[in-house]
Amino acid sequence: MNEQSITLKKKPNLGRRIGDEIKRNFVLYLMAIPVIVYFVVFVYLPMYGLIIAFKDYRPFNRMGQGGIWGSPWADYYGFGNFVKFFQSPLFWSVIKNTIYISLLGTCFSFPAPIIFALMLNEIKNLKYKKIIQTITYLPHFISMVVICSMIIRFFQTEGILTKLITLLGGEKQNYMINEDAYRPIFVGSGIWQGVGWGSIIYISALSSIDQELYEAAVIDGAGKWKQLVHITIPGILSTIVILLIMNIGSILSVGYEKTILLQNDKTASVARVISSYTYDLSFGEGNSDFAYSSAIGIFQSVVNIIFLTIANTISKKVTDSGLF
Amino acid sequence: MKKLSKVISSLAALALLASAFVGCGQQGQTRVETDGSSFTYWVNMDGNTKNAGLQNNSEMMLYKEMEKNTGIHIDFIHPAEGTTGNEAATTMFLDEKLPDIIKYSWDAYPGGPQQAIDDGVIIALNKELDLSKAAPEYWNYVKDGEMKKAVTTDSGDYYGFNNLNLGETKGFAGLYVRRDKLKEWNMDVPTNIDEWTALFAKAKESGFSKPFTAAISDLTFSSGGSSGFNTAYDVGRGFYIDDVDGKAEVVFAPLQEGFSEYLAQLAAWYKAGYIDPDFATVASDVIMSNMVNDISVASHGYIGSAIGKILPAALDRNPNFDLVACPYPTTADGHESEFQVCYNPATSTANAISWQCGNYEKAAEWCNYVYTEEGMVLQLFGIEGEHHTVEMRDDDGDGVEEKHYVYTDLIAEPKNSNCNSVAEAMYKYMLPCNYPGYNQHIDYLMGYYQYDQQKEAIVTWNVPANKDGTEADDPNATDTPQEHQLPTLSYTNEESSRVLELTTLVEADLGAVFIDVVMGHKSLSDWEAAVDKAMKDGYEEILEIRNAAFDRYQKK
Repeated sequence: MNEQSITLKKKPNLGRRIGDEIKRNFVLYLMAIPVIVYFVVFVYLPMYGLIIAFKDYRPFNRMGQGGIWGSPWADYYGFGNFVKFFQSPLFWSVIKNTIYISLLGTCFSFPAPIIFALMLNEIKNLKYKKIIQTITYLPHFISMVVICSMIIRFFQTEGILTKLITLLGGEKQNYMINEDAYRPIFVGSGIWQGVGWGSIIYISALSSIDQELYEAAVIDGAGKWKQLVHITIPGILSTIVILLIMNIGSILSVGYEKTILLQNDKTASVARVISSYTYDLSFGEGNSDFAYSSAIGIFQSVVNIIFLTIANTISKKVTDSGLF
Repeated sequence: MKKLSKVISSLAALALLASAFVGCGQQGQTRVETDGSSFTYWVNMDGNTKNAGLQNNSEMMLYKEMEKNTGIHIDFIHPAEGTTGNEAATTMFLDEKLPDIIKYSWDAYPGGPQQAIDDGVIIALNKELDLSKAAPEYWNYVKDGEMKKAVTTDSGDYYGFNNLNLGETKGFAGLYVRRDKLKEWNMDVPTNIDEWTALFAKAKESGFSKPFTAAISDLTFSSGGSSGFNTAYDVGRGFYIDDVDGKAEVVFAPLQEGFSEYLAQLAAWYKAGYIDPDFATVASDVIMSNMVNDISVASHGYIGSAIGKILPAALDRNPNFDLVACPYPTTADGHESEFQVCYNPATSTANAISWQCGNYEKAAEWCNYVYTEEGMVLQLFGIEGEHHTVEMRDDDGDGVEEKHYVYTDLIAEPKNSNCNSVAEAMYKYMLPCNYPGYNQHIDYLMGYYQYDQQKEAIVTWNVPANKDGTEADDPNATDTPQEHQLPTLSYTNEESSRVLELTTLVEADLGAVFIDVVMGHKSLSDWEAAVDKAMKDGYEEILEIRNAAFDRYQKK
C-alpha cells in the first residue's frame, strides 16, 4: 500500500503522461488513427440506432414525428417491443428450439474440427494431407442456398442419401418432412460444411507445438495415445477453450437462412428459431417492423453476453485461460 | 471522486455527439413551386432494358417520344446497381429531397400507401388536384366500381397512377399435361376428376413413376389462388370471398363445403401412387425435370415460368414432346367451376407524386399520358410501322373486326435489335407490362409468348370478364372467379402484425396435418379436429380481421 502511493506520487500528472506516451510512440498512434476512426464511425456511432428498439418506429415520416429521434416511445415505458416478443405465443417454443440446436452444435459440431485436425495431424504423406484439407474446405465456400437445395434433394424419397439410409436398413421416405430427422440433418450438414474450415485454426495451433516434446515422450516410452493426451491436447487447449467460450457466447444466434431454406410445414415446430421467427414476424404483407426486430436482436445479444461472461468466468477459474 | 468526474465528462461528450444527429428527424419540409417543364422520376430500370444494353431509361424510344408529345422533360433516377428495390427505396425515402415522381410498390411501404400520405412522402391526388381535369383518361378508368376500390386507400384517397390490369385476359395459371402422350393413349384432354384419374392410371401403367408432380403451394389449403383440382369441388383455397347469407364475406377454405372431399381425393390419388411422394418439398426445377424426363405426365404452373421453360428444355431431346393447358376441372355434376385464379383489377405498383414535387398539375398530366389511347399504344407497342403494325381481325367471332397490334420483326426477331430475346427487344424500346399504365393487353401477351402452346393456354385459362353479367353492378355477387378472389386489402399496422403472428402460430401445424392426411398417415377426422383447433387458436381472429378490412374495402 505504502509502496504504491509512493510510486504514484513520483509519476507526473495524467495529461503529461499521455503526452509523453504519444510523443514516444507517435508513429504507432498515427497508424492506429484510421482503425480508430473506422470503429467510431461505422461501429460505435451507428449504435445510437439501437434506440429504435424502444420506439414506435416510423421510418419515413417527414413531418418531424419520424426517424430515430422523432418517433414516439413504445408502450411500457419504451419496452413495448420486448414485451410483445415475450408475450408472443411461440416465444418459449422458439427459445427451446434455438437452445436445443445450439447445444447440439456445441456437442457435435464443435468437437468435429478438433478431431479432424488431430487426425490430419497424424497423416505423414504431405501431398495426401493437402488434398484432404482442400477438399474439406470446399463446402465452406458454397452458398447456403445451394447447400440447402442439395440437402433437400439428397434426403427426398429418391435422394442419394435416402438410398444410403435404405441400404443400411432405414425406411424409404422423404426425410425432409420427418420431424425427428430435422435436427440431425441440420447439425450434420453443418458439420459437413464447416469441418474443414473450422479445423484450420487447430492445425495451425498444432504446428506450433514443440516437436522435441514428442521426441522426449517417445524416449520415455509414450505411445501415440499417451502423446495425444499429454502433449497434443494440452498444447491446443487454450485455443479450444477460447473457441468454446465464443461458441457458448452465441447460444441464441442460430442463423435464419438455413432454417428458412430447410423448414416446411411438417418440420416447422422443431425448426423455428429466434432469428427465423423474427423474420416471419417482421417481414410480411408489406409491414416491415424494424423496431420489433431490433428489440429481439438486443434481447439475443444481452443473453449471449451473459452466457459469454459466465463461460469465461468458469474457464478462468478452471483452466486459467479466458477471453478477457 | 476523480472517477466520477470522468464518467460525467464522457457522458457529456456522448450527449454532444448525439445532438449532432437530432437534425436527422426534421427533413424535407421545403417545397418549391416550378413551371413543371421538367421532373425527376425515381424508377427501377427493367432487367431486360439493361440486358438490351441501355444505361438509362432516357435512352428509351418510349421516353424520347413522350417528351416530344407532352413537352415535359424527365430526369431518371435509377436505384444503384446491386441494391434490392427496398434497400434503394429506404435510402430514397430518407433523403432530404424526394424525387418528383416515384414508382414504387406502395403496399411494401411500412404501413401501406395511406401511411406514405400521412408521412408526407406522397400526396393524395384527389385532395391536391381535380383528377377529372388534371388526368381525365386515368380518372375515367378509376372513378368508380371495382377499379376505384382497388386503387384507393381505405379512407378513399387516390395515392398514385397504378398498374391497371385492363386486358381482357385474366387467367395465368392452371393444370397442364403431355399432349403427345394423350394422343399416344387415345385420350382427350381431361376435364373432370374421373378423367384425370383415368389418365393417371394409364400413365402409371405406362411407366410414369409420379404421374402428377406439383409443389405443395399448388395443393394446400393456405395459399390463395384457386387453380388446382379444388375447382372440381366448387371450393377455393386460402381466404376468398363467398356468399354468407346473401352478403359477400371473406371465408376460409378448410371450413367450406367440398374441401374435405378435395382432400380425400388427393389422399386417394396419393395412395394409388399418382402424386409425387416428395410433393411437400419439391422445387420448381425438379418439377421441370420430372416433366422433361418422362417421370410425370401432368403438373400445375404458369404460362411463362412452367410451360415456357419446360418446352424448350424438352424439345431439345424429344422433338415430339408437347404440352397442353387443361381447362379447370368441372364438378361431379358437370357444371363449370366458379373458381379460377385471376388477376386483381389493379396492383399497388404506381407512379405517385411526391409532396415536394414543384408542380402537381403538370406531374399528373405526365403520369396520365400512358392512359390515353396514344400513350397506351406508345408504351405497349411503340410506333406504328416501326415497332408494330395494325391489323383488323375478328378473333372473338362476333362478326365485328377489332383493332389488333402486331409486333414487327424488330421485336419478333430480336436479332434485328441486337437482343437475345423477345422480352429484351420489347423492353429496349418500351415497357409493355409491369409498369403503371395498361397491363396484360392480349396483343402484348400474344407477342410476348413464343410457343403456340402458351398462346393456347392464354385462351384456355382465361377467365371470362363477365360470366353472368352481374359483376359490375352488385358488390355482393359472388359467382364468378373474379368475385371470389380476395382483393388486395389494407390493414392497419396492428392488424397486420396480429395476422402475421397468428398465421405463424397456426398455419404450419395445420399444414403438417394436411400433408399427413394426403400421405395417409392421418385420417379425415384428424383433419377436421385440427381445423377446429386451428380456428380457435388463430384463424377465427384472422378471419375477423380480414372481414373488417373487407368491409372497409366494400365501403369505399
